[in-house]
Amino acid sequence: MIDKIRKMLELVDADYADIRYENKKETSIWFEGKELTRVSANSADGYVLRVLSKGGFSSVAFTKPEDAGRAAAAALADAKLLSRNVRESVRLAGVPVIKARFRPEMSEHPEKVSLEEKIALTRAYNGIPLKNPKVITTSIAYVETCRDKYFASTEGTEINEELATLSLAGTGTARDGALTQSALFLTGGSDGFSCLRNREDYFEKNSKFLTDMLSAKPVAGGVYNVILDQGLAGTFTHEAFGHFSEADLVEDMPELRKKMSIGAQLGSGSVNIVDDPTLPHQLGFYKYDDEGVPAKRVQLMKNGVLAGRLHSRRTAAAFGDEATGHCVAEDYRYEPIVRMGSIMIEPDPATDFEKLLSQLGNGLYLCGSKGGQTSGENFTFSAAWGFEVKNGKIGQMLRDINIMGNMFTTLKNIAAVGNDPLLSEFGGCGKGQINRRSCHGGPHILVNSVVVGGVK
Amino acid sequence: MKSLIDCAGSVGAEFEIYSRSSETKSVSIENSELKDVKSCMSSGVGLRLIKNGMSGLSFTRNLTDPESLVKNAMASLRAGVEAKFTFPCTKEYLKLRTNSVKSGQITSDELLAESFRMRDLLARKAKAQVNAGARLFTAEYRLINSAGTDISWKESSVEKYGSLISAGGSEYSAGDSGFDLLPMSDASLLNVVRLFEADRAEIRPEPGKQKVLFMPRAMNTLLWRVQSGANGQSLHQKITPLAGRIGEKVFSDILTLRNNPLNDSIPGARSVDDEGVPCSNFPLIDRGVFKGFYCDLNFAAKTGSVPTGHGFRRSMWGGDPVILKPQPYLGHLFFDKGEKSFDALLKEMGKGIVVFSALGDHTGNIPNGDFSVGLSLGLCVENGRIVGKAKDTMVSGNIYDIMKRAVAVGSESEPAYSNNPPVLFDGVDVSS
Repeated sequence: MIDKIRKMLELVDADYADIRYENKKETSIWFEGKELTRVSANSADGYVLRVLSKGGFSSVAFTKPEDAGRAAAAALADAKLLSRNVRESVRLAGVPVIKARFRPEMSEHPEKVSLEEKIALTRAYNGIPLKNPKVITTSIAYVETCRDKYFASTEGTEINEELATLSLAGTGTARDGALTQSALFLTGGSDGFSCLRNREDYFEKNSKFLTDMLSAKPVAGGVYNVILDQGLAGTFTHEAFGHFSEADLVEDMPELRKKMSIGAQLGSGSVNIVDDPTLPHQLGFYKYDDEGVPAKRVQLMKNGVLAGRLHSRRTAAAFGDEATGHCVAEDYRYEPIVRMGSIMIEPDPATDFEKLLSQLGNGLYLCGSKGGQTSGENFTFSAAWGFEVKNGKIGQMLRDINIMGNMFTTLKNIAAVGNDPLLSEFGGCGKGQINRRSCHGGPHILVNSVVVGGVK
Repeated sequence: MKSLIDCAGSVGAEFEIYSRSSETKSVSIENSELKDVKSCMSSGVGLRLIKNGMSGLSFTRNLTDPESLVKNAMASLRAGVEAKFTFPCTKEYLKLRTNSVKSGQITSDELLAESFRMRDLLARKAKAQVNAGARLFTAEYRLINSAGTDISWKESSVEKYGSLISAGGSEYSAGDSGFDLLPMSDASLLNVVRLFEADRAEIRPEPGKQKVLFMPRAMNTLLWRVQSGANGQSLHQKITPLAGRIGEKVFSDILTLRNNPLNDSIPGARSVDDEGVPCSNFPLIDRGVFKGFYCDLNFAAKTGSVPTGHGFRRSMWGGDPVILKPQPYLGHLFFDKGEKSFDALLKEMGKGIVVFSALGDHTGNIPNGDFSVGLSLGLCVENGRIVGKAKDTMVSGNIYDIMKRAVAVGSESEPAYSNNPPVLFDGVDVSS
């Protein structure tokens, strides 16, 4: 395949070009309630060609190999159009030429497990919440994607990397009278099929939280000091801070870029944040990004001071930094963009959960992420459930919890960081493309003055 | 295609073949500078089979091996996914305008020229970060099934946007959608400038119940919950608060909410759904009264109702139609327009909040109708005038509660947001 795509590169007369071919195999098994509603195992493939010509950098995605000539002409025309109209010519940061074939170590390759066994496991986990008669339905799916990627550039880089991503995840819905509540079940990872085995305890535990929520009380809207569990701390780190560490997002936002200057004191002294796609066996792991650049660990914040950014080759050159290997595409349909790998707040070994509770005194303990969103400096995210905390003791369970805040204010309001980090098993960041391997986490953290939506 | 039809027909199953071939061209300007020009050429075929009450599906990007596609679908079918429906024979359907023959000739240079025009107009009027862009989409579809349906259609759309970004990152934008590349109206762009001017002061609104005006771009906060409630799938799964309430008044009688794919004044019109069932001008809520659930073939059979022409290869987040299987979906959902202009709605409100865009509308307890969203762009109104931007503010409620307290509907709809007008509600919880 490398030979085939290298020949496609010869169709382009430009300063630089690269091409990525992917064959993506996807297996999906869906249950809705007790019913099996979808089983499919397919493969689909396509190409993304990128062209740099006289300072204009463009891309074209195509699915038919016979369209290669037309695609090359379109990419070149688009690059020339850019070249005529951009103020600053695009440059690409220098990177080493690599020739590699990489297969990550996995404890159990999913392609070695039969479809029947995958259906049986999904049926078994789906059945756990349904044991409780108050659980009226579920929507739980096994999704396996194996991307076999081939990359070649006119600089001579040739890489073949395979990434297998698994999830067995979904929602359960419980009902009591007119009240309906739902909870997420999120298992998965990049470490092979074994990450899904022996997870009955997880499904049992979340099933109990789901039915317990039927007797929880709605949170009262207001401003609270809160402890965020590892999932929510990760969501905050990803949504509120992480996206503005992505150089392609911040580069054209002059006000934010000014505030996000390297060396700026943005957070409290207890906040250290890294992004590390090289962590083996974690959801966010990869060796080379979709520009053929080796992934690197990046210290983004040190003691509250902004210390680094995530880059593509283009943004690295524009910022005068080194490429970090964070330019990733969802699949063969998309050009790569700057993405987080595994982003997390680093733990403080001296602060355990009991110490955080004691420091909180009165407030809320919020657990489990149900997604989030950012716009400019502002973010919103949703907690799966929570608890009142009075005098450092966990009390009544709460439901229907959404919080919002301003990134800069909230980073400064992080009063303490725990010692118990966890990384997420399930991704799905939607920055124009879905990144199933987007991984985030951290320890429990204590944040002061958080706006919580709800009835007053 | 013929070899696929022959191959699918040879396995003794009912079959449905969905093919799509599309091209996009897009340009984007960020902070007044040209950021990107790119293209995409995509094709694919999705196959569904039904045999002995079971269904299977498969897809491919390149139809080079029809036998493998059929084999994959048969393997899927053997896994045991039940199908209680059959594919329809649709020979007659409305002919709608779904594309412009000229759209195929539109060049990236022309998209860029219009984007520069929008940028220049905004930059002349406001000192702010300016973003703008345009995207051309053209596609050809064909739907064939073993019952005799064979329908082809073309689609084209040109979407444009122009935005001003405030120092805090809030986006004031105008969007437009049409079959051809026509200039966005100056009035739409100047309205963006007018709203941006109100961003001078940041106000933390008083917590408590207030009047809240949901603008078209924020309407998904409410409509996603209605879509969940009125979905035949939710009825089958027993998770909808609307079960057993057909004919009951559930919203204010000033609200009529319909899904009308037959409206071909804007791009995206459809006379049949992705399963070949004819579409209709379908009222979900008629003057406050719930009229019925919308279904695809599958959930119509499961709930003992008739398919309503809402089986689309779409999900809440869009998705790739070749890969997705049809499911109940409302792609053309909007409130009927009222009589009040934007300024008249502000006067009616007196004091309250205008929600231009919401953060987190996809989160929370959607089946229950609950929402609790942050305002990525919300403006505070006092004495019928915009006085500043709402700071760190959330609005919360339940649609089955607040829809009863709708007090006015706007007269100006936005094609880029399914032709929705703004809607004003009383007594919405505000936290700040």
